[in-house]
Amino acid sequence: MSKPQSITLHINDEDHDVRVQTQQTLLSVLRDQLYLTGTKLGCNQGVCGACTVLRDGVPTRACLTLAVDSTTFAITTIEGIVPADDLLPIQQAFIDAAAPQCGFCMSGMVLVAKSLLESNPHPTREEIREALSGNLCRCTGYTKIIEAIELMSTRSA
Amino acid sequence: MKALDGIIGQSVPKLEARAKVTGTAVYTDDMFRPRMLTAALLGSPYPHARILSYDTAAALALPGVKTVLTAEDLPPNLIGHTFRDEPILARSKVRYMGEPVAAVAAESLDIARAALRLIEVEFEELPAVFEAEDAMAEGAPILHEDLGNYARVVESPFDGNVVAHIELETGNVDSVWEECDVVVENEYSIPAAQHLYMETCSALAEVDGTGKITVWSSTQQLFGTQMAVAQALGLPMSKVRCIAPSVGGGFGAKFITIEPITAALALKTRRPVKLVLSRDEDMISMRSRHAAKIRMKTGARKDGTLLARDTEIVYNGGAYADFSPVVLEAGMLLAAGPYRIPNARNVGRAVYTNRLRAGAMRGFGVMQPMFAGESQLDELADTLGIDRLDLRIKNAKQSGDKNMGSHYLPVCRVGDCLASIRAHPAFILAAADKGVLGKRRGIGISSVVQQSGLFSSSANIRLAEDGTLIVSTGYIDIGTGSDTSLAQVAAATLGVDIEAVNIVAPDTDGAVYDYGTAADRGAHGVSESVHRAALEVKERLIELTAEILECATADVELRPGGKLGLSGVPDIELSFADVAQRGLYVGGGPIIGQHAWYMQEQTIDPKHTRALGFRMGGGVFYGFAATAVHIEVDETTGQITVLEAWHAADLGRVLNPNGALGQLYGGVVQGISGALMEELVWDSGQLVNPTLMDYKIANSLDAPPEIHGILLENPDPDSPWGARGMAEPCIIGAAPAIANALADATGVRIRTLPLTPERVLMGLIAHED
Ligand code: FES
Ligand code: FES
Repeated sequence: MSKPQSITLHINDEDHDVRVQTQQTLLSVLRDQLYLTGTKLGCNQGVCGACTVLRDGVPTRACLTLAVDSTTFAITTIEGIVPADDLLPIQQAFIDAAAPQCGFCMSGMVLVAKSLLESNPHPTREEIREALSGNLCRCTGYTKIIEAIELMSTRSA
Repeated sequence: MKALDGIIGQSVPKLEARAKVTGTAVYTDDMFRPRMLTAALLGSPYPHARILSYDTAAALALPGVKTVLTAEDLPPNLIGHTFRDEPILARSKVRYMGEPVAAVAAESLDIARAALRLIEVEFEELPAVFEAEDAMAEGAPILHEDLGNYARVVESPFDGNVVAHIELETGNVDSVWEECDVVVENEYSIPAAQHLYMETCSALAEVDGTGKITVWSSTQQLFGTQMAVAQALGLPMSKVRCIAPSVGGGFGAKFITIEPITAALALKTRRPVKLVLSRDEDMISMRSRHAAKIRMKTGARKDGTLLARDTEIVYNGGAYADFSPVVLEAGMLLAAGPYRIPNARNVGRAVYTNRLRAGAMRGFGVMQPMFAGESQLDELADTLGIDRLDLRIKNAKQSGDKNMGSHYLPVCRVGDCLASIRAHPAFILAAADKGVLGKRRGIGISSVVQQSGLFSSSANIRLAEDGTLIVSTGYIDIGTGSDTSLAQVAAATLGVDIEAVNIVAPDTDGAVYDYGTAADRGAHGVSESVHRAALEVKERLIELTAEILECATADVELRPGGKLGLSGVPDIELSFADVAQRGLYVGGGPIIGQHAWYMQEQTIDPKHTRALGFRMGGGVFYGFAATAVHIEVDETTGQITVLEAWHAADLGRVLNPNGALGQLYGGVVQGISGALMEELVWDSGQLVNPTLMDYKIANSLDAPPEIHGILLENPDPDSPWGARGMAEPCIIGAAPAIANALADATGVRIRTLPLTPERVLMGLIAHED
């Protein structure tokens, strides 16, 4: 094991000084050192998308990202997209469409949906399916997640 | 006046939805305790071997390692859902590759993992057996020499590696084949598959100063877990407390997982210990769905009247019994499908092999024979030249019919399920779309039955001082929406708003009792408990109100919004809070309602069905459904794409339409995923695809862009709000519907799952020859 090094991460508009191992993933720093546990660990292999965070606004897999490589970016986790007592309209749409079941995939899904709608406020169903295809959900069959995004698209008409 | 129960049938938002979309719902791995250690497990490198000795000294000497446990450090107690055949760490031998042999608790996961590499275990390899047929053969290696001595919860004839053996026969199958104008007989094969909940199994255990252990875990069974921890560690249940935080899916697998070993580590170190399995550890060592080999023969008259079905199934149960005997019972009870077949014989065995244990999975024991039966029905229809839907509708069971064993079916609308799909405008269009050369299209349909309801449930409802309700059951909402629908039932029975209902988190120290989140028990069984407990609260409320108003109880009426009043006098009204406070501070005591019951199985009537080895009964109630798909087959790659799907559920009264549809869509897609791509593959006992990279599940592009959910409401007379569970049947019908659609599109009949491009392509090539 290498010696830990001190780095500063910019997460949810705050600077966090952390000591990390070179091989340590951003996901492990978020969860186990900063207790930002809204970002989930589903596979640690880049397949499931449960660990999705936004890196300069772009959905990124925190399990495939080294913490030491993350210092130059603005990282946003599910906890940071809106003040804690508030909801983004897309989150409200997820609730209204009854999208969450077990909820384990939801942080990733919400972040991907948010980023999709920012670049494309009125996506077609095909574009939504394409955008979600890197995030696995075992409970919903994706149907109500897609409905939530379509609902949001109608609401922002 | 608005109806008291207006909340039933409304898409009330899920109680925990906000927590789940903001990342604030707390799952086991999200919890941290002061001085917490992290654990890791050492898996067996052999599928079958005797353990000769351990050397843990080097691991223990590694700085940061707090304890290393092997079976030698644990009481010799066995656990198990049906047979107690399983140690929490392998004892004297290992029976599958990856079976936990030793456990480490250390200051960090890195240290724990490093310590695993320092543990020396000496094994003597034994001959292993992986296929159920081989395990039943003469001279096969025996997995459990002590099979006869195990404590049993469920009795069933067993022998050698056969865990359970059941035969059921209605009518006289052998006598009617000559009367049949057409007989179809074939073999079908279902692979082992996995639940693939997104949250891997995880547990956190902590011991307090009195020696009591608290275990938080990702589980769908609270009290069974408490019992298993107590049994494994030789403790009274009074020293074990189990709590379920948010659970990231289960689908049948999370019935006692790593809680006992995590508790053992906490007990040994007297520090909090967290154990979270990595995805590959979870896939290698938790549970699978039973692989099955099925031989099925169905006979009918020229006019399509089904006369006989003979089914033989062998389920591969893996290394430990787990739920195998009960999975087998479910399959045996329902192998003849949702049809009137006067002569039906079901013979089945569940068999030990040196593979991962197979356990409960959504579709419990029934998806296997249903794949065979629904494939075979199309084969029969085509041979007879009868429309595939007509054949099903003609033979469909009806309300008031009997199932195997003479089990009564008060409500059965499987025929209506089929008819509702046939009449669906999109289905009519799809049926006419045959695609083009190279991209053939076809439709496939299936209709299925599943039994549900199981064991005990209870509920306790207390009226708080401010008139709100505290509802406790111990039932775990693993994503099914049960907390919300139970809150709706409580709110409806007492006429309060949903905000006035507090559904207590599952905790063995606080909850009453519930068997677990299984077999669609929530909508029917647990809601019955909540309803009846609420009725008791109502009775106490009325008694106390009558005392306050000095009137007869008959003159007190419940009014919406948590109020009571004098009948006919709108001005005279008390709130629940008024009455609760009167009870607490003047007289009468706290207002508490309680209900406890056992969901009684139907028994097998020997005059109707000859039975061997069938013990549990089953069939508390039955649910029916039909599924259809429209697929496209790429004839150059063999790839099947599901373009559109329909699912009609015969589900009684709908408590929460959005919740029901969510279950329906999720089940259908899980079924499609299983049908097209899921298979656990072992090579000489080693699971070769224990990652999400190599074991694929459906993503948003694999799921059909359009799923039509049809909820056929026909209230169940035995259920408080006429509700029945519906989350199991929806996973079952997809696989046979897709296999039937493939045959419809290309003429290729495949009887082995999954329907991978390779298998389809080989089928297409063979079909051309
Ligand atoms: S945990 Fe990162 S993609 Fe699965
Ligand atoms: S809601 Fe359970 S994994 Fe998506």
